[in-house]
Amino acid sequence: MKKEYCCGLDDLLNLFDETLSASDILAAKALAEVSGSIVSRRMEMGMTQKEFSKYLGVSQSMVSKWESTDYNFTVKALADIAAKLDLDLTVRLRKPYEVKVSHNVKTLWKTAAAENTAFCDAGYLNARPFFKFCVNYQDFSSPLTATAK
Amino acid sequence: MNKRQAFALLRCYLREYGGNFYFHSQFVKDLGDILSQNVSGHEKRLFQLLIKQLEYVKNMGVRVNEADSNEILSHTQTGRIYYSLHLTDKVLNIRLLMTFFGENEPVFLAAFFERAGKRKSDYSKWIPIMERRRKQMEE
Repeated sequence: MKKEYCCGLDDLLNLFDETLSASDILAAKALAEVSGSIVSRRMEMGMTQKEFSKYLGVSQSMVSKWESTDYNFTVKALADIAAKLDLDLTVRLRKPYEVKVSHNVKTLWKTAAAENTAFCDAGYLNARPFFKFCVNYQDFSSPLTATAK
Repeated sequence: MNKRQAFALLRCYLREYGGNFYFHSQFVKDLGDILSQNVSGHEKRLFQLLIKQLEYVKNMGVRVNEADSNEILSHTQTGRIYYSLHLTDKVLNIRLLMTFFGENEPVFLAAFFERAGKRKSDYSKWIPIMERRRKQMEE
């Protein structure tokens, strides 16, 4: 990949830096996660939106709203959807976990393994699959070095 | 929590699948232009739709055309598969044009504001642009 033309996620997100609040960013993440789960489940069931809406007993426009992140879900609404789709629902408010960066990256990963958590680029995380990926590939490198405090 | 921390959480979340998103520098410029010229006051909604599409790409990979009204664009001359991801609601009508390097490296190449609501988008102008930008990134 030629670096001269290549931008990363940071460059994209920077476009929105001045117009969004922290809660806007968290809301977009949560809505995308919910919407993604619903679409994935629908596709897994091999249904169109119309069939899916019939299965759930709601209108097609409602399913469309859920999938387009144009719906402000209540916890009760999410629970109803989860129950009908045989999915679990977890709603948590928690502190992002922070792992102090040691001088030795390998030690850091061992610490993270002990905590069953991983360090992400600004020092906050919720990235177990990412951690698992790194451990599987014995990749003790990239995301840590750039932002070590 | 401040914005920097919220963005960091979002980045971690989007990277969970173990891959990276790549964006051509002109794609970022295209989107910046759209933000400043076409969607003033709707940045939050655009952001929601954008993150949703990144989530789809993350979860569905090369099957991302099956979500929303996303499309596969057939570019017959090279056999390369390009995708058009739709960011659409009452006000917004934006296309993100992308492809994959290999099976799991999403590469975003161009973005444009599609003014004509229901009319089918004409991608003929964009296919050579995507080709050129893809080659620039691959070289």
